[in-house]
Amino acid sequence: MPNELEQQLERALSATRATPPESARKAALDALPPAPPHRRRGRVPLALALGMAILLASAVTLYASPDARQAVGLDTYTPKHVFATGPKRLQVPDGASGIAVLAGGRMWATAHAVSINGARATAVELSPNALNIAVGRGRDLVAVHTNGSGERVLRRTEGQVVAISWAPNPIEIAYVVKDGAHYRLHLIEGDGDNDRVIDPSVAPVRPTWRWDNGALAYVSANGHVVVRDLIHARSTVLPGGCLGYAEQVGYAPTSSALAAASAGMVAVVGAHGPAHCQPIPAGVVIGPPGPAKGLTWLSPTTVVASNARSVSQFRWSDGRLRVLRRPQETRGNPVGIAALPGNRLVIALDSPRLRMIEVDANTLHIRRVLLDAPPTDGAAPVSLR
Amino acid sequence: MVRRASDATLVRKARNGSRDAAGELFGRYWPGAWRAALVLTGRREMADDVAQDAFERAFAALSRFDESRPFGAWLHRIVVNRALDLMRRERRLVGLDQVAEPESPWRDLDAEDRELLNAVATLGLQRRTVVVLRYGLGYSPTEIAELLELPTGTVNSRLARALEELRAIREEADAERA
Repeated sequence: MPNELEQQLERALSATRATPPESARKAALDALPPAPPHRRRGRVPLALALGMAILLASAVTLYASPDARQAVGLDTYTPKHVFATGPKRLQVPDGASGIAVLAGGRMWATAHAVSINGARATAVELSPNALNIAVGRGRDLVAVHTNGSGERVLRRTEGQVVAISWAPNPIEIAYVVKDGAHYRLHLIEGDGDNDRVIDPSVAPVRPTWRWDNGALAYVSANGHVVVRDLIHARSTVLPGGCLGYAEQVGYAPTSSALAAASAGMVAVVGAHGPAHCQPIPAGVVIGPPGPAKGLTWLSPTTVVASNARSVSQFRWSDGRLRVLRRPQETRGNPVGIAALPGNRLVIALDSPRLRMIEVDANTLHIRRVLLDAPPTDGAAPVSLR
Repeated sequence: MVRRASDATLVRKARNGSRDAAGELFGRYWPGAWRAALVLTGRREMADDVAQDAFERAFAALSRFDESRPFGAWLHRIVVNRALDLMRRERRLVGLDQVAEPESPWRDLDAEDRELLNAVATLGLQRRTVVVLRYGLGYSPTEIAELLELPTGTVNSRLARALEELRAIREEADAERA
């Protein structure tokens, strides 16, 4: 039974007048998505005929145009990569606020006033707008302001922090901790509050946040994609389907489309599991394609996946995933990729040296070498803000 | 007598493009959302922004909303997250002492309630959040725990500590007056 203080609180908290401004009402209603179109039976044959005509015209165009043939993978593009002597320090590409990479147990990061070159780390991730860097350092999850001010330990964990993913809001951080033979997924607030375990048994894969912070997708210990609905506090384990054992997951930047990649497959994952899988061939290298090393969205409709020595692009539209560019060979093994505005990619290559290159996404021609560091032998997820 | 449409019905209609249904949801939930934002932020114009932003986000994402769940809880989670996000960002930028609104945000309340809400405004953000969800929006500790993804015990302890703190502030004020 509520006491006197509680009753007063209830009264006081409900007494304030709350008249909504008309502008707020209008803005909220304007945010409604457009109504789904009504189906009209009479128009179906017409639409089918029109679709067939467009398909026929597209096929003729594809056959005639070398660029278009290359774009859909009918012809293979052979890149001409020439590495100039690169800089020793990591450089932020144009259009980004900061960049970080981890390879061989060391990290390189630069944003605003902070520049870290080759420090020991087990995971690294920049916050939105690159205002902070979260670093896994041994058993600590550490955050550092990129304005140069002090670092703080957000959490002392039982094992190594192996993956970090900062929410777009940017209040929360998802991170994966090694615990013996298992990996645990945690959520924590950026100031170190409210640390909690989301899943005690996951794969050591970087989780991904939906654009609105309402969901987190990750890979379970047995390779299934799991979507954690943070609004309703429940998890959905999606069947492996055509994807098999997922190794990378990535939400689209402005929608709820979720891509996942496994060794040799990429798919956009729906409520019932992966749909429309597309193989990621190894390019000119003969043999198994090898594990998926990178997955990113170049635009709201273009997924880029890398494995072995190649990078492939896929177009997600009308509920289907199609090959946009067949594997393009890279000189060196891609170990991480990130997308930049303006149809550019940043690719981390780990052989023979760790190199970060900014390339044109269409041709993979190098625009700039961002880092050229001594050889490494580890995965290198790229954090770009 | 006209029967009041359920939230789920309104959500379904709004999802199909009905601005009337969305307007009805807006009218139902604006007062609670705005009051929660006001208590959390302590500023009226910021409460306007937070509540409006929360509605925009909720309506834009209606297609993903699970109709079997309460719309209010979903919206209120967005409100709380937006308010905390703004407060933390602002605290980093300007420092806590500069955040307070020059004029009391509770100007339309009587002196006693105003004093109590001023005391609520001095609570830490975590405690303030559970207080507004419990006493401003009427959620049970279990519902708050689900909404904030916290153990129920944590919610109960935050509530108990908040009430303790409020009692202490009130006793101090009473002593000063005496």
